[in-house]
Amino acid sequence: MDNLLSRLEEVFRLVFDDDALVLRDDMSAKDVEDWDSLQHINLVIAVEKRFSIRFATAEISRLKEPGQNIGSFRRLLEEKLTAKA
Amino acid sequence: MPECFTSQQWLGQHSEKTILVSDDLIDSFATLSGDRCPIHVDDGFAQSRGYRSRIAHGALLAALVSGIIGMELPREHGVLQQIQLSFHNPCYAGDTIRIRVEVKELIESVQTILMRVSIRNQAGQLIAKGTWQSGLKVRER
Repeated sequence: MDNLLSRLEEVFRLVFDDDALVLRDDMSAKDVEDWDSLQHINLVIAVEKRFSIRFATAEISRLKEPGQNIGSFRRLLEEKLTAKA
Repeated sequence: MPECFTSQQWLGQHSEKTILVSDDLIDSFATLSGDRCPIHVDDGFAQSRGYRSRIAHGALLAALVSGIIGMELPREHGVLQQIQLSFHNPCYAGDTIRIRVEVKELIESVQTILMRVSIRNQAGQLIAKGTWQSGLKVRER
């Protein structure tokens, strides 16, 4: 598994309290149990802290649009980490 | 507190309030919540468990924090998302507590503030502390 996806998976497992959760790029919120609006906020906060980055409000809003998935989130994270480096 | 804050202005905002946790307050909360556990309503029982007298419900203390959150900071600008409180010492009937709420972090991407909460008694002893998370429902200037 891609190293970044693996690190993202660790954060997901903590936020959703599910040690068996396995992430794939094609998954979306409906594929993860209890991924509601509050958990979405907690997930963003946890990812920002884990990777020491800050997302913009517009970037997070875009993730809620149809067709967005874990792959979109991973790519956004990749962009932020590249910009930070 | 100004009527409208920009997001950055939330950082460092704080509010404090002193409240007497009276017998009546504990009794009222016992009635409201239905939690009439003897540790909260019976001095003799509480003493048999090693306490000086009956103790306030932890949820009552959380409700008193809610009073500050809803009326002072962040008032109508916030909506509760999550509470985390730990309880370190008992709050006895008759204690006067001081509740402090301070915005410690702003997460702009999800328009959320994290507030540090502490509750101390008249002797300065820590009763409870934790974090209160609210979503901001404020219009940016």
